[in-house]
Amino acid sequence: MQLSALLFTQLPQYLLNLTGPSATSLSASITNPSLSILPEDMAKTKFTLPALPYAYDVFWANLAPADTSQAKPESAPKLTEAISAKYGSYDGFKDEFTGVLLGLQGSGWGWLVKNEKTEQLDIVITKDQDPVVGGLAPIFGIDMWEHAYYLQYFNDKASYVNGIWNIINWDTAEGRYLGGRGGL
Amino acid sequence: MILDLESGTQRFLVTYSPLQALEPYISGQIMQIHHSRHHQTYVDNLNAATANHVRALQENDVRAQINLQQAIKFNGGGHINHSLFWANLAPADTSQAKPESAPKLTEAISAKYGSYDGFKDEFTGVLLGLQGSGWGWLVKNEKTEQLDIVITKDQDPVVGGLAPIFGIDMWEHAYYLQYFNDKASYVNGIWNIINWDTAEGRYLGGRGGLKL
Repeated sequence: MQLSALLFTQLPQYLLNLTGPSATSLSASITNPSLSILPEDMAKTKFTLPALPYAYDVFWANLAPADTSQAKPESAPKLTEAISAKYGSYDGFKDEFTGVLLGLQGSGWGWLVKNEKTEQLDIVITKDQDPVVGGLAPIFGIDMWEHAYYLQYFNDKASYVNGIWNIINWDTAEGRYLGGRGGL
Repeated sequence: MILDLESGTQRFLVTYSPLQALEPYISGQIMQIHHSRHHQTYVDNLNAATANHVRALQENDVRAQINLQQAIKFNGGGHINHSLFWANLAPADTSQAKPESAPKLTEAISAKYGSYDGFKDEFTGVLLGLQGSGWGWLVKNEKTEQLDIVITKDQDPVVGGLAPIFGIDMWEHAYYLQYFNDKASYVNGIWNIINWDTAEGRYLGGRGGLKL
């Protein structure tokens, strides 16, 4: 609770620390995931916008409480079928993704993506706050910056990653797999 | 630091006692975890990577050697960086924590940056502008003897003819338990616990005797 509340309350302040005339419009951009409302000069700022709110918007939407149906892989029949086809099994996929996440050096994110041309699934890392680009559609992402887990898990990344598998929003993931950006 | 010559492994010892010595600027809890988990993990992983590297060299397996390079760079860099860091911190109430302990260095700082405060402001700005994980360093160019402020990303060490004088860890684990995302307060506080005595030694004498 503390960790996500902190991220929710601190994130807008982080963005508002940007200087320039567009600062006042940033608070609106956090609740509105549409990037088209960003002023042009801010949209060109690679690090903070559009990457930062975009990644977080994608992240919050791909989490769900553990006791909901959305948190069950059964909510994503087409996606889990594709996962089994590519990775052998759901567990094989989880192990591979977990290995990639734990191998990340420094700050960054791990993503399940779909190649928009070939429709193939892949697991990719983006460093720092780099967004998923280049013809790849993010299906779900996992934040591996220390702030995502440190207050609760200290440096025990493995426990954080093992736990997060219980709260992936497979319903959102299915939507993104089938429908492009899932409305983001 | 102890190098076990027989097995070739490196050991790291906690250099601070007590761990609360740097309070209130860095909490004892952070020091405990930072030493015994983060730095220790770099040492353990470095030992494993170098043992594998020795084997790959013996077997003439170039592909395996290349495969190990990132692990050696990351964990070796982590070990170097943290070793330098612990040595360039001192409790706030000691003489080592006063810039007056570094007369030659502070003279050079004033010459380059206008004043000690001007230097602090510039270094602080660089640290707060770091995106992602990394370190900020005051360095001396070994050829020109010029001072400079540089960033290294992740656990990259200071290389390339630059001698580190002191470093500041900007990974979130260095401050998050105490300051959350308030990096500015962490950086402002750490100026009270820089070990200027160690910094002077490094400025004058090369690597200041750091043996890993």
